[in-house]
Amino acid sequence: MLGSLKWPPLISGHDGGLCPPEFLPLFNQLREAKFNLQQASGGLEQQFLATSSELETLAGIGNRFVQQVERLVGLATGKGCDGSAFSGAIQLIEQSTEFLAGCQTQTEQTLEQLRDYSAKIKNLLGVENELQRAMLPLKFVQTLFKSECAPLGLETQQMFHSLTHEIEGMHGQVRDIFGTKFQQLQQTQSTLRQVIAQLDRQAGSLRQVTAANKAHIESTLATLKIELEANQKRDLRLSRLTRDVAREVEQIVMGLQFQDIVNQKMLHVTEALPQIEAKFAEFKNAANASGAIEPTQFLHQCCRLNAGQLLAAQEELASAEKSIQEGIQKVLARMTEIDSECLSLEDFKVLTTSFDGIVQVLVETFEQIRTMVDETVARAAEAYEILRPLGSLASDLTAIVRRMSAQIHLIGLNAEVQATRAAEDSRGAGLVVLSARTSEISRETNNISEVAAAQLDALVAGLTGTVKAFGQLRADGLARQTVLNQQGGAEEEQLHEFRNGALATLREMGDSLDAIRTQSHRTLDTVQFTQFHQVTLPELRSPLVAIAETAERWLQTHGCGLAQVSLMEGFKSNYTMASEHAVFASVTPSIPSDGPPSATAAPSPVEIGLPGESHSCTPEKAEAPPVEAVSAAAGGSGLGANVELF
Amino acid sequence: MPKTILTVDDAATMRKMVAFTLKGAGHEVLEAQDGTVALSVLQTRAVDLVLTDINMPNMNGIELTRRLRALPSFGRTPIILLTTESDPGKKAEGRSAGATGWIVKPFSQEQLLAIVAKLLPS
Repeated sequence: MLGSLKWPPLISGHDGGLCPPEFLPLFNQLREAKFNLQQASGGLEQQFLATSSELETLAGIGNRFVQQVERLVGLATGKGCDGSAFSGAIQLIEQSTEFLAGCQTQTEQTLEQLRDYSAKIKNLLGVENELQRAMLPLKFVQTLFKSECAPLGLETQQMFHSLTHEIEGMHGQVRDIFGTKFQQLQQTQSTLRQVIAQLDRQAGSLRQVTAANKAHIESTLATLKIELEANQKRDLRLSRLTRDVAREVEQIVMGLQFQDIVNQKMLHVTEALPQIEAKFAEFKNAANASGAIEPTQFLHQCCRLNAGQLLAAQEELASAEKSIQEGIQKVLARMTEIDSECLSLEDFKVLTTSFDGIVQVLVETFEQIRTMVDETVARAAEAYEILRPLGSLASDLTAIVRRMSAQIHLIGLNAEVQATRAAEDSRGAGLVVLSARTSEISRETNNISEVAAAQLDALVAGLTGTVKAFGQLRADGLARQTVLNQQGGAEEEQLHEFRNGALATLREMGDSLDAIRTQSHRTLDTVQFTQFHQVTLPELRSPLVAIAETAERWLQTHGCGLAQVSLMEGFKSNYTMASEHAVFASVTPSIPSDGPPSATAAPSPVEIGLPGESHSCTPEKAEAPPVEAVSAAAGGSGLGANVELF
Repeated sequence: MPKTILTVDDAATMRKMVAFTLKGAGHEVLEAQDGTVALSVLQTRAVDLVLTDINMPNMNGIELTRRLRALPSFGRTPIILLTTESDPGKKAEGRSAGATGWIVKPFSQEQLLAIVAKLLPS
């Protein structure tokens, strides 16, 4: 801030005879311009501040846009899905598919076993015929026993009656076994056939669905990979453009430093103006021409110097304004370029749809696998429930057959004993024959029973293993169901989030593009330094130039030299900016500048002309950081010539 | 690793600009409009680096540097003079006051970040 003053009173009074007539109005003009400058400076600072705020907002939106593009590019190129979103789901599907394949193998092995059991049961059912056939003669033997015993003693009759009774009892048992237990066995075999058929169908379906799913997933992943690769190429362009936007905004922000530079020049000019006025008073009050020479020389040099300062400031400000405006225009141009890359955005949309597709496929696959696991568990449970009583039935049967076999054996023994007694008593050769026959039938029946019992033993052992295997399969299936429900649920949620995130990012990008465009125009509206550098500063410089010219003419008229640069030593020591040193060196060429060349000014002589003339002291491009400019400061820091680390 | 940096400048635009650049790089930025305010801020907050203008009302950047160096806790804190000045005399003055370095405006964003990175390696 340059401070504020009240409106200055006009200089009036006589010209003392030495004062050129145009001096008074020029000094009044200078006072007025000084007042205007002081008024305008605060406004300029506010304007810079407003611009910086708008730029900050613009940069914020720009950075947000960069992040959004990076996020979307990450999704589109697989960076966001390879490691997380898809891999977990795919892994779970692969594990479950592997589990189902294991179930399939196990089911097929079990099917073989079940077929074997079915065959064994069929064989066991054949035992009925064999036993019936083997025992059929017993009926006749029993009848014959009765007729052969009739002529014998009571004791013998009772013995053989008892034997006949045992034979009848055994008959009853055989009927019971074949009538109930073997019928149950027969029913079980029928159920087993159904289970086999179901398991067979399930195994086939499992095989088919697993293969189809695997193929579908592989094909979808392959398509995704191709799309991701294509996008990597597209995204390079979009990423570059987006980064350019952010960089442009950053460069524009750096252009705001010129406010500080211009402000300092204004401060120095403002400090010089009272000295000019004081020298003018000295000039006016000089008693004679010789007394007026030194003040005039001061006025000449000082006005030139400060006009040079003003010109430099004017052009720096114009350049800063131009640089900021051009920067924003570049941002807008980049926006247009990004717009023209809409194809890429469209591609992103397509890709997002394909993400949507793969998410759908994965979710559906989860569902299918869940169903298949559920079916496997149900079949295993069903088979388990059917086979478990079958084992028990077979065990019962084994026990019965063994008992029956023992009884027949006893009958056989008893028959042999009775026959021996009858023979010893010579009471009937017929009974001997019948007893021998009974014993023979008993052995035969016993053999058949033992074979059946052995088969039943084997069946029981096999069934126990199979039942256990089905129990394990059911338990594994239930565990897999839990995994699918818990982990699968989480994976599905993540996939949905992933898809929604991609869609949301696309929407956010569109919003950001609009916001950048709007904010760029808003910022452009605040960058209006024209009044200051085209009116306020030239208005102040104009009387300075005119005073310098008038002073020069006066000195020439009075035959005096112009160069009294030592009068400017005070200014020289006050000038601390490189660009001010350059102005000083240009205006007072006989005194070499001890400061570094200007950061923003060319070393050629400063012209102090009015607007529209050539101004060689100002920078070509204000926004270019004068890294190489401050040679004195090049302390070998490696950070640029304007940087020195002590 | 983010650092805490104090920027001291009477021009709000400059403070905003420096803050914009440093915050963009992830640092925390504190602001003060002159040396007096800076001293007051530093009584309550520890900082890793001070970037100060030279010409400021109330207390200029060189005086601020001198005062900070007189405090034991600021013996090693880097202090960079960020100024439009390029006068060797001023620079010598800043150096003898204890400044760590000197940057002449205008500077680029890369330069500012490179200096911070050099002085405050993570």
